[in-house]
Amino acid sequence: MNQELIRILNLLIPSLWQTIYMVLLSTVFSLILGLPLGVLLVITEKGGIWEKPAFNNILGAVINILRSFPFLILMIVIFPLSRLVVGTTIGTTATIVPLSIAATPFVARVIESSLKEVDWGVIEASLSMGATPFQIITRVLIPESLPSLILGITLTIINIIGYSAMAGAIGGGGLGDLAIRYGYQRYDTPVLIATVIVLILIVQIVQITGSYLAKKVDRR
Amino acid sequence: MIQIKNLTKIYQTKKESITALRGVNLEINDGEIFGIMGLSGAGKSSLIRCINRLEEPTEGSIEINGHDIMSLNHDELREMRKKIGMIFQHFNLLSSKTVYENIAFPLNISGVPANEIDKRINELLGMVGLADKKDSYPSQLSGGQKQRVGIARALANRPTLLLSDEATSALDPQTTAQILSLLKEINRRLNLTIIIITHQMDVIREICDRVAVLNSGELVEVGNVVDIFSQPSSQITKKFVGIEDGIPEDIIDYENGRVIRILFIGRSAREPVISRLVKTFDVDANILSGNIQHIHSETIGNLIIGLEGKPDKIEDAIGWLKNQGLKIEVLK
Ligand SMILES: Nc1ncnc2c1ncn2[C@@H]1O[C@H](COP(=O)(O)OP(=O)(O)OP(=O)(O)O)[C@@H](O)[C@H]1O
Ligand SMILES: [Mg+2]
Repeated sequence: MNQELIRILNLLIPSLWQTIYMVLLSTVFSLILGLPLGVLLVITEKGGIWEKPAFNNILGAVINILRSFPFLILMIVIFPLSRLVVGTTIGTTATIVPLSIAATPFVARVIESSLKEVDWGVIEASLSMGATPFQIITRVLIPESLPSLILGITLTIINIIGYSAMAGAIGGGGLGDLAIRYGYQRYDTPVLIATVIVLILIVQIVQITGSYLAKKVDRR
Repeated sequence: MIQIKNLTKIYQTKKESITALRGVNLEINDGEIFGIMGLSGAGKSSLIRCINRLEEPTEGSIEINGHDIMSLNHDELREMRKKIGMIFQHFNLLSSKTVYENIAFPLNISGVPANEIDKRINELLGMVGLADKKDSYPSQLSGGQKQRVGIARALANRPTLLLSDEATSALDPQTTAQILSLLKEINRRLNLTIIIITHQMDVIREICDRVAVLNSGELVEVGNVVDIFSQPSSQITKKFVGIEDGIPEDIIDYENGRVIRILFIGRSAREPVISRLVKTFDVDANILSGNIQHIHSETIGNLIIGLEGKPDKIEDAIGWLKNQGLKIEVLK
């Protein structure tokens, strides 16, 4: 029994780190890409603080197209880009490229819907005080929607965890990869169950932390 | 001084174009509290929002102290807005920031140095009586307190003009009175011009020097509050101030003698005119309806009385009343 446990842990722990590594970096990159896009979606909308309706339509369409790609297909399409960025198309680091790109349009929409919750009256008050669009973004839109943004980012992380499990398909490593190789291909049920439990725990921890933080910063 | 000339605002929606303002001409003097009243949809908000160009006027010109605000580019417009404070019906405070941070907002975006900001905010907190609330969040404040924060924030950059769009409409009467007296005090102390939109007659009566009446986008009347309240000329204003044309419905069936309307303004309201009339002319005076309003330090009385007695005595009595410096209108 003890040996079995050690065997499972030996498999699990490196995979867990790979998952954390992939998810963390992909979250960071998708936020770096998605946040400005989400902000642009809101401010360039008709009636927004930096109205650019034509641009808004195009951006919206591009984001929708990216979102409609199934993740597996996106990964394959993005192979050349992965090679360009990280020099390889397989492995944990290479997976971060398609993961980030797959999550970016999702992040953009999540950020968009959070920012749209900000009361227009508050934006208007800021305009009446002579705030620039940039000041409104950084000092009004983002701080005012912070609770909702945190929940959105939580949702993004959980989504990326889901995607990262699929990433095993291209040898991305991580818990999903472990579950496929041992649980599915070798009928190693204990490893399968252990991976599932660890994934459930990670998702729970992320959700609970996210909800807690969102509540903590909420002053409404 | 603010000069509004031939201001027209047309909203273009997909289905229709709505004319919210139609050739409005208006002058607002420095240091006065100027009221704008009108029914819902009359164009009050559109008018006030054109003054800081939250709405772009469709036609016409607006000059503030001789500067044409229509010709300003984006940067110049923002600089101008820093000198025009605005307060709102729903306060529009930043819910994620404390009272202190809310008042700091306009100073921060204007790049005022931190040590000056602190000094200025403490001054403002004192002025609006919220020194003990500076670390509270808006959600922890009452409506009146929120509006005080709104006022402090609007005054932070030392504006010369304050715009108020229904700033007391969400408050109870007592809180409204407190906010109004705060505005009046600020107006006197800082010689700040204040433009107030309201549908509450009390607000106009309480603090405005002059008032404009808007109806369906057109300016129907402008004048001193006392004049407008005592002698409204347009139908819509009469309705607002509660002076009806002709004989009120409920006394239309009054059959005895003559019915007259007497308007008292100022000192005359305090003189015992009716009792003198009764004694001198031997007629009976029957008070059919009436009201007395106090506007600033003026008293305005509006009385409808029925006069009964010998016809020639009644005529004499009416003649005498007219010579008392009262405005008399024979209704029947
Ligand atoms: N953004 C807009 N788009 C289209 N029509 C508008 C817009 N804003 C106002 N209007 C219309 O313009 C007219 C005047 O509106 P405005 O808000 O100036 O009235 P108001 O006198 O302030 O009314 P209230 O007392 O209800 O606030 C109304 O018919 C209104 O429907
Ligand atoms: Mg309005």
